[in-house]
Amino acid sequence: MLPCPLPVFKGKNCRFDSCPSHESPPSSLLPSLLSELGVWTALLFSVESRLQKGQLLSLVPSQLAAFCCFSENQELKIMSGKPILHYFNGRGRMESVRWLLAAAGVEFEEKILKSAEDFENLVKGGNLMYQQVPMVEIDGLNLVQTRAILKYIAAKYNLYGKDLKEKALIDMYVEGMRDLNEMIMYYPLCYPGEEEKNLNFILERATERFFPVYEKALKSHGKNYLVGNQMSWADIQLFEAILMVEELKSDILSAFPKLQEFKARMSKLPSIQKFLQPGSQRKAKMDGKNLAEAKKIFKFDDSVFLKHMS
Amino acid sequence: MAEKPRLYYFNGRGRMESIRWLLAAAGVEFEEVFLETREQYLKLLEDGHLLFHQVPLVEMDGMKLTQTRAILSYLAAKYNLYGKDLKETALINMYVDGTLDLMMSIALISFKPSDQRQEAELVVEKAKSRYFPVFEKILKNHGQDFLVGNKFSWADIQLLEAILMVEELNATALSKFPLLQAFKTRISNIPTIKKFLQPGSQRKFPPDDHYVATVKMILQI
Repeated sequence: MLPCPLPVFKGKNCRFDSCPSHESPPSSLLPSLLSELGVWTALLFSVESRLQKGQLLSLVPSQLAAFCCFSENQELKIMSGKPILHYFNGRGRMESVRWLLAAAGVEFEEKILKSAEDFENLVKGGNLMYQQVPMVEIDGLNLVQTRAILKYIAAKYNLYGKDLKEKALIDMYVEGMRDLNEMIMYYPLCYPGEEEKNLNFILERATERFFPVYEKALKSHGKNYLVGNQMSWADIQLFEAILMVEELKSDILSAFPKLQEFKARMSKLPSIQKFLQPGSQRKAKMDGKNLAEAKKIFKFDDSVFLKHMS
Repeated sequence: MAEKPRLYYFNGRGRMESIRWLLAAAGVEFEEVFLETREQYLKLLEDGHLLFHQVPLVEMDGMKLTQTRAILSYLAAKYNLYGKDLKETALINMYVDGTLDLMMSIALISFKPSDQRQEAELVVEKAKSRYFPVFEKILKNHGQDFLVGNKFSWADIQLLEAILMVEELNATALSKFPLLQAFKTRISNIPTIKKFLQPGSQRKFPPDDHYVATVKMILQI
């Protein structure tokens, strides 16, 4: 890369490939910068010097570029404005977040933890409130606790009902689904020899405790969505849960005609269709290899979770 | 006249205690129906009042609310204890999920067949290494009286509740957290909370053998 021509960083290499100081002479810097204002504003806001918003446009072009470039020693995060998800390369507790963002049509980035060291570094970075993932960087927040993350996204993208009562109903529905998802999440960790017992337990809960509730809700109001006749977090979560249970038993919906219709309807939504395509950010069902990876990264042994199933 | 919320649960803390705290702190009077027999529980089930066959159940505003967090979120929002915008709500959610996790692990100690004293020590250790430092730091960073937005919220109520529960296991748990000690005193002196901390209030006792046996009998677990 060319050394930066600006006086402030003279002689140092600019790390930003498309730095306008390399593209055009200083006098025309401001217009070219302003034309990319979105990205540049984000860059400026992330610079350590905490530039005040009001100063942005009053800066001389070269000063503007100087703030936009950065010295060798300074890390500059390029904030695209997309949420950034920190997790390992598996479903776990983050999958519901991926579903919610995808269904809402929100693009997101992922920082995948690949090793125990990656996770330790993340902890050391000080942005994991309880030293746990999932963590989502969004709107200047480092959100942890899956529910807190999901609720924030649901509210931000109008997927949380229109009033407190609808919100309460959505909350009740998704809490039920979380319980079911959790059983499925822990299933790969069950005692050897108890797979069938645990599988039956999950399927029984699905067909006797959880699915009947949603079947009844859809039947009673006859609308396309669970709550308030518009798509909400509850619908996305239910769709996710249905697919996961079907992976365990493909005909699990045989006694639930309304859920079958619901599933068909949801599958057709463009954002969901896109997420269901191969190559999307949807993660694969956990297998032995994926489990081994998780254990290696988070350093847990079987005993931590084996007692969960009861 | 508005009807009082009606709480259906066992006569003990469990998952309902945080709800009692929140209502009490908000100055909301409530009634309680205690489940003492399996028949009562089965009747609630048969009548279709328990969405996922579980208590807590809170009847209020024409709804039969179940799922602890759904109930708590509804109450927090209704009584203006949930922050002033999405970001404050997010902070409160992060804080309360942490404290709820901690309190649940305390509640479960009594139900574990293994060495309960050892379990209690583990939980106290977790409180002192994972949770209390976080809240001490939050209070230190902004220097304000309350956790979020310089205003009393659900997060403050929950943290006080968690502190008191940990102290029941280990009286010196707050020894290294001066700001939490001051916080505890301050929040305890809020009139509604002070009232709830008096003997004779609807606050419940820590679980004993009788409570555990009752729950197991009613739920057949």
